[in-house]
Amino acid sequence: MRDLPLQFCEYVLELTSVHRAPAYFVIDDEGGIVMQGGNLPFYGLQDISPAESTADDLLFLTGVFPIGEEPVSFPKVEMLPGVFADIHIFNRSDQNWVLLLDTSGEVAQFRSVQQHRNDLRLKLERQNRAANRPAEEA
Amino acid sequence: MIQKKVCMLGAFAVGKTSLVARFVKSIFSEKYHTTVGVKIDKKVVAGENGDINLILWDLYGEDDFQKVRMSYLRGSSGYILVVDGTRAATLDTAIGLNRNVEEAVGVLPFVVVLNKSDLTQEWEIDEGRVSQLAAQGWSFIRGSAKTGEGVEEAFQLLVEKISRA
Repeated sequence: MRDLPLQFCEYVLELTSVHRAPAYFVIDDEGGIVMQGGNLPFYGLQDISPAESTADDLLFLTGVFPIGEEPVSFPKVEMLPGVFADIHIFNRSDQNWVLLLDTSGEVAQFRSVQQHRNDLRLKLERQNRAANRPAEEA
Repeated sequence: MIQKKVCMLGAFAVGKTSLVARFVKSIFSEKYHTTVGVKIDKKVVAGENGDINLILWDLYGEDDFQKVRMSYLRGSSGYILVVDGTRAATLDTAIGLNRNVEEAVGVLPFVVVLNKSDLTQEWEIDEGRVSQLAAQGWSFIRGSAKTGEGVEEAFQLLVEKISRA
């Protein structure tokens, strides 16, 4: 990381590896899985193997390739019930790298706020419609 | 088997998740659970040249505070725009989303589902606006995730459009 002391880089790496369950795949241009690792069981991907699987078995990669120079990210993808990943896809050394980072905690927090907000807005919309109807009909 | 990615787009609480649940699992729940992020599902459907594995991306609903990230549409072959027939403003959201998609990823096949057709007494969508959009080439299907009306037809129509694209 540019301009950051090594100690900061090590700390950020430690935060990520401890708290965000990193897992990865390396995919070749034909859609073959070249390499994989990290905490794949956390995302329910323990049965994916380079020998028996291809990128087609990873549904979140459908239609994504080829990746250009700009990385692609899919935030908050539900991998298992209650387990969400931020998925980052980028090209390095002529290979496609797919990185999964856990974001389940953030989603759980956000969901309760969002649910409350949407329930409230639907209720307000219903009240407004009910208030407007008699006037329109008259 | 050929895989095609399809995104579900629309305002919040229009029934995107319910339509996917009806289409994939033939189930419906009255309880509203907001979607956060994206949930991916799949279903095999018959295409003109053989079976297609539809990969369905059920995206969170758009509202004033939370715009849908267009990066989710990368690699999509088409999309379903969902409108709540009992909330006229959700058609405006769908029109805005369609514009954003076309600016971000170009023109893709899409079908509009006017959902909640079982709630006829509360219907708010102006047929004149629907006719105008239909004249511009938009395909509308009136349907209900609750009763199942129009659900299979909407996805099948989208598959046909994708096959012809």
